[in-house]
This record gives sequence, structure tokens and C-alpha cells, in this order.
Amino acid sequence: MRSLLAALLLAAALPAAADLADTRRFALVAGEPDGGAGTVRLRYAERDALRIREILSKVGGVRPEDTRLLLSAGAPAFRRALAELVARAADARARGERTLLLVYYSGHAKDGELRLGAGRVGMDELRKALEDAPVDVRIGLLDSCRSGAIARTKGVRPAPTFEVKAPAGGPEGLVLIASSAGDEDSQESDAIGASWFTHHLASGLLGGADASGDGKVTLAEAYAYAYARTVGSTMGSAGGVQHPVFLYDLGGTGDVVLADLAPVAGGLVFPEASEGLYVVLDEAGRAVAEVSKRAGASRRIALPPGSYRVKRRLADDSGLLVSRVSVDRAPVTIQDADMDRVPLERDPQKGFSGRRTALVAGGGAQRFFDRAARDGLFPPATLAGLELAVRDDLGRGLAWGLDAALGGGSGTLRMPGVDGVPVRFAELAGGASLWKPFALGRLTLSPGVRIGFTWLARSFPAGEALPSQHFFTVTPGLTGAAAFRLTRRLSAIGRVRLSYLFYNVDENRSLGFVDGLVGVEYALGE
Amino acid sequence: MRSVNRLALVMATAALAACGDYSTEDLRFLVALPTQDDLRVEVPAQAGGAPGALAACTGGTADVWLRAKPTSDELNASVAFVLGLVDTVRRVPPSVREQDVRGWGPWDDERHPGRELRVFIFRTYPEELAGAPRHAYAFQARVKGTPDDWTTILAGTFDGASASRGEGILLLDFDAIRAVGLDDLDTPSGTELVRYDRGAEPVTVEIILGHEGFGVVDFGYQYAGWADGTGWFAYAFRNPTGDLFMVGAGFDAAGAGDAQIVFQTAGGFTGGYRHCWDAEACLVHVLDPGNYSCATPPCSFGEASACPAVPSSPFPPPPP
Repeated sequence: MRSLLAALLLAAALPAAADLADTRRFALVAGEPDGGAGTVRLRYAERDALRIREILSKVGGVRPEDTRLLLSAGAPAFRRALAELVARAADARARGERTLLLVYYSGHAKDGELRLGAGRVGMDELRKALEDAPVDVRIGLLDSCRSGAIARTKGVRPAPTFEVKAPAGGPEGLVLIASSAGDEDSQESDAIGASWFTHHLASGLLGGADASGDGKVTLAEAYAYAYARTVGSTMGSAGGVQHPVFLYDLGGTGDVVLADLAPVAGGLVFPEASEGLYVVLDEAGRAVAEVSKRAGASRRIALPPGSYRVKRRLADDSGLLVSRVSVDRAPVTIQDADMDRVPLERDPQKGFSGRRTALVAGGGAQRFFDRAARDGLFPPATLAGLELAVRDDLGRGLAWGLDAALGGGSGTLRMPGVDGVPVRFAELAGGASLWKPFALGRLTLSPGVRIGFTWLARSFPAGEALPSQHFFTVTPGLTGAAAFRLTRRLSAIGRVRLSYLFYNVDENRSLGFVDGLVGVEYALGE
Repeated sequence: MRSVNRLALVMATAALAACGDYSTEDLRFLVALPTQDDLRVEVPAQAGGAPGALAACTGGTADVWLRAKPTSDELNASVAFVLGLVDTVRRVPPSVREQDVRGWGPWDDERHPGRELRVFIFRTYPEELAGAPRHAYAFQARVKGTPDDWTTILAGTFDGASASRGEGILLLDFDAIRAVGLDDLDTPSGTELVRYDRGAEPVTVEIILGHEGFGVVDFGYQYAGWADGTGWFAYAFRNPTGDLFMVGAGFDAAGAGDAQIVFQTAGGFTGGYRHCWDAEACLVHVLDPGNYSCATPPCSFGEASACPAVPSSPFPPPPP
């Protein structure tokens, strides 16, 4: 509470903020879900980083060439990128430009260290790097457990005890904002598909924190908003209340503007009369922004063009107000009166961060276990397949998929007393699978079940004067896959399926076959 | 018991979901039926030249041999007629599947409205075949709406697993085809018996026509072919004046040959002579003491040593 008060006081005390264009901005944005041994892989660290990078690019005044995005890149890459940006910022400053360096990190932290995979970056080290950087304004945003420790090292006092100097010129100094206190965990939420702190910080930067209504979100406004919303959101959580903290050692005049909504003309406008918590959802039902406002000044949220749904829970919990809007280049005003009232159970917000979709493509082979079946009915075949995989749609940690494969082969049909007959074999297979992924670092194992169909056909050279034949049947079975994540979107995948086939033309036979596939998985819309 | 019931339910569901004609057993029955290639009579194409159209031959051309190719083509056409019926069962899956039986039909004959056909193939394993199967098949037809009044129009047996590796016999009954109304304008009468043996060299095909038809005379045609291209062919034809010529010719891979010719005039007179010819169908030796084969005696010329080495008939001599 003291931090919030401090931020509010700070926001009120500082003079008008300078424009973004006055300052050359550099940003290092890192998302690191893997904290090494003894840690649980974070689900949304990379998504948090991507979201912040996007916001900084759209409304934060950071040029693409001045941004370094690191996803699961590890400690050495983090140090290299930081050093590079410091050097670039120093060069810019030497040329007479005002400079700002922002470092955002979402990931694990423990015992005073940021944990980037197997590597470590001490919070002391990071803070010292920022302190020593020859940059006018240095900002550290840490969304990790016990990250508040960075604000209490070396005797520096965390807010609310801060001091604002007012020499001539723009703001100068160091600001450190951490998502939780030094003895608190930072929490992710499946409901919003993000960490609480980053989610609220992002919402604030998009306009939710623009308490002054001037179309600019200052550092103090953003912190105040993120603090209030993070505390509010984690109030009843099993992980306990999470209190973001900050260290504000900033001199000069004016506050630091983190976001200027002017470049993004479109978005949603919540008029003066609007009051309450409005949640903005994307088409997949994921929360992309929130606005918590009181009646008074209007508030604009900068959003890229697209379709959104806005919901507000009624104060008496009797239902929701929901509105579907299409955002283009002009702001769309959200009026409560125009929103539809729906029961709570029709909440359009998807849990578990909404479903995640991926495409799998690969090739493989199929082989029946029974030799007689291989020689006389179904020779080994090669297959090429596609699969649509949907995760967290039926429930947390569950995935389902639809697959199709086409293939075939050639061989020799063997019949007693008859010379081998050349045969061409074609197959079309498809199915629906349900599996549960288990993440082990970058490796994900996925056992599951599948119900499929198989259409088989074979034909013979014209000289054999034998008719083409076909067979269709249902093939239930088991499936297992191992996927190794190569990049944020791309994984290498190997899959094995064991399937049952009931053959009933010549005689009733239960046959089993195995098919293996190796390929790549590409995550869509992450 | 519940688990047994569940298993039965699963099996029943799977059975209902499975469909198709993907049957290796069907193929085993089908490979026992002869194809056009199995029954083909093949004589060198050189024997198809028109008499007199070949390069000038000092001793004259082997006109009798030059009738061999057209005759073999017509015989092959008659076999194609038979196999056209057989091929029907290769186009549709069987309607009856039992351990050693396959059945097709009945289906309507498109070319003869009001008639329908059916086919059965039975498989047995007689002791004399030492484990190899014997297939017996029958093609039957009837006028639709006449229950149990099926007429067998084609019947055959085959010993061996594959028509390309065994021996068989089939009989096409043209009279039965006429009786059931499946005949066309060019349908001959009588029967056509085809006996073939592809189990060992030489491959043999015998076609016995009971009546003239398909452009060839009624005769017991015999063909034997060896892998090296040599062969033996017994055939018959009539000349424009109606005289019947019956020829037993051996030939080599190049088309040179040695034939014994027996003729019977329309008036009943019979005689015979020997022709030998080279690869150009030029006569190299004629043994014709009766001077039947030329207009200006003596017809005989050359030495027997000029005759090419050709196979002799592998068929047993006809009973006296």
C-alpha cells in the first residue's frame, strides 16, 4: 500500500512528461520460462516478453533496431545483449541524444539471481550494470519471484521512500520495478494467459493506466496501475498477495513517458461515465487488456485493428455485460448501454489462456506386425501427414488433434504356388486424438489415445489382369509423441502410434500395426 | 462375462465399420482363370505377309505358311471372345465368399436385355495334384424370371495355383449361348474347347472348334511354343476353291520352317507334300512327288538338308 501511495504521490508531484520523440529508447526484453533444475517451467514468460516488446514497439517509442528480444536465450545472450545496447545507447548519448534503456525480464529468480535456463545473472550484477550505464534513464522491469530483492540490495531504499530532484533538464537516473516483494512469489494466471504483473503493466501501458487522460502513460502511472491491479488480482490467490515494488532514483524534471497512445489511432474508448473493470478479449478469448476506471475522465486503450470482445462483470454478480467490437483505425467507444447482458456462465473469456493451436507436418512409415498380413495384405508403406493440434481447449493440460496422412508403397504380393505379383499400395488415414502433454524442460512427452480411419487400396500392373481392391475400417489405438522445442514456435517432433485394425473380408482377423512419424510442429497465434 | 460382452461389442462395432473388397483369397481364385496371354497362339509375324508380296523367291514362296499368321490371329480372336466372359468376374467383387468357393452375380447382361449371368469357382485339393489346387468354374445364364433354370455356357477346370503356371481346359458351348438368347449375329454354333498347359516347356494350347466360325475352319488346332522362340503349329484353312489344307508346321525363331501339308479337295481327293522355307518365307525345299503344289511339274526341288532345324510336334498322335 505504501508503494501505491508513493507512486500516486510521485505521479501527482512530477511536472508534465516529455514526448517520446525527445528520447532515443533502447529495450532489452527477455522471456525465460526455464529456470534450470528444481524449477517448474513457466507457461507464459515468453508470451509476456512478446507482449511487452509489441507494446514498446507500438506505443513505447522503441525502434525495432533498438530492441533485443530474447526468448529462452540463456544468461550469456542476456549479458551480450545488455552490453550491446548499453554501448549503443552510450554512443547515442555521446552524439547529444537523450537516451533511455529499458530492461524487461520475465522468468525465474531465486536467491538474488535471475535464472535463465542453466545460467544465472545476479540481481546485483544487473543493477550495477544499469547504474553504471552511461544512459540518461535506465529502467529495470523484473517479473519474477522475489524480484523485489533487486530494490533492496546495496542499501538502496525501495519506494515509497524516494526522492525527486528537480535540476534543469529531463529526467535522469535509475528506476527499478519488480513484480513482487523480496519474499513473495510472482504468479502466473491461466485465466489470463500471463503473469499477473505483466498483464496489468501491459494493460496500463495500452492506456489503462492513463489516469490523467492525456494520452500518455508515464512510469508512475504505469506502476500505480500495475500495483493496484496486481494486488487486487492476487488478493484471493493460493499463492498469496503479490506486491510489486519499485526503486525510484530519478533526478531532473518531468516524469518518464513509457507509452504514448497517439501513434495508434484505433482502440477502445471508455467514456467518462464508464465505471468498473472492463476486460478486453481477443478472438481466441484471451485477455489482452483491462481497464479499471472510475467515472470521470474517459480512458482510451490503444489496440491494433482486429475483432475484440469487451466484458464487464456487474457489481452484483448477476451477470456480465458483453460487447463485440471491431477495431480499425478509429477509436470505438464502449457504452454500457450498448453492451449485451449475459449470464455469468456465458463468459466469453476462455480459461487456461485460451486454446493454443499448432500444425504438425511430417513423414513416416507404417508396418503391420503380422508377417502374413504384410506379405499377403498390407505391405509396409510410407506416409506424409498433417495434423492440427489444439491445446488447453478441453481442459488444462489436455490436447486434441485432427490428423490426416496420405501414403503408399509398392511390394510383392505372395500367394501359395503363385509367382510374386507386383502390387502398388495406397493409403489414406485420418483420425482424432486426445493426449496429455508432460513438459520436461524443452522436451514434451505426450501419451494419448486415438480413433482413426484407414482407407487402403492396392492395384496391380495391367498385365496381371487383377482388379484393384480397397478396404475401409476404423482403427483405434494409442499414440505417443516426443517434441523438442527448437524455437518459440517450432519444435521437432517424433510420434509413434499403435493401432488396431479389424480385417473381415477373407476372414475375421485382428491385426495391429505401428506407424512412426518425424516432423516439425509450428505453433500458430502464440 | 461382462468383459466378454464388451469385447464382442467392440468386435461387432469394428466389423460394422469395416468394408471393402480387399481380399487376397479372391485374387487366388482369379489367378486361376486364364488370360489372353495364357492362351495366345504366337507365330512369327513374318508369316503374315501376303502371298507374292515378299521379295522374289527363286523357288517360290511358302504360301501355305503365309496362312499361319492370319489363322493364329483368328484363333486368338475366338479365344478373346471366350475370355471376354471370364474377364467379367475381374471387374466386380464376388457376391459369395466361402472357404473354397467364390460366386459372382447374378447380374444383368447389358447386351442382352432380359438375361442374367452368374459365375461360380470351386476349389479343391485332389491327391493327384500333391497339394496344388484344382479350380472348377462355370459361367451360367438364364432368362430372368426363370428360377433354377440356369444353363452352363462356359465351364472349365484348372490344375495349379496360377493359370500362368499350370494346365487347364475350358469349354464354351455356343449352342447353349444360342439357347439362352445370348447370341449375336456372328456367334458360331457348336462348341469351342480350349486346352492349355503352361506348367512346363513347351507351352501348349489346343483349340478345337466344332463348327466353322471366327473365320477359321472347324479343326483341332494345336500350338506349342518354346522360350527360345521356336514353335509348332497345326492349323487348317480352305483355299478359294474350297479345298481344305491341314498343316503341321515347325518353325524357328526367325520364321524359317518345315511343314507337312495334307489337303482334301472339295471332291474328296486327298494328298500331301512337304515344304521347307527360309526366314524370308522363300521355299528352299519341296518334296511333292505327286506334283500337287505347283502348276508346272516337277514341283519337288532342293535337298532336305536345306530345311531348317525345327521342333517336332509335342502332342501325342491322334488315335487311329
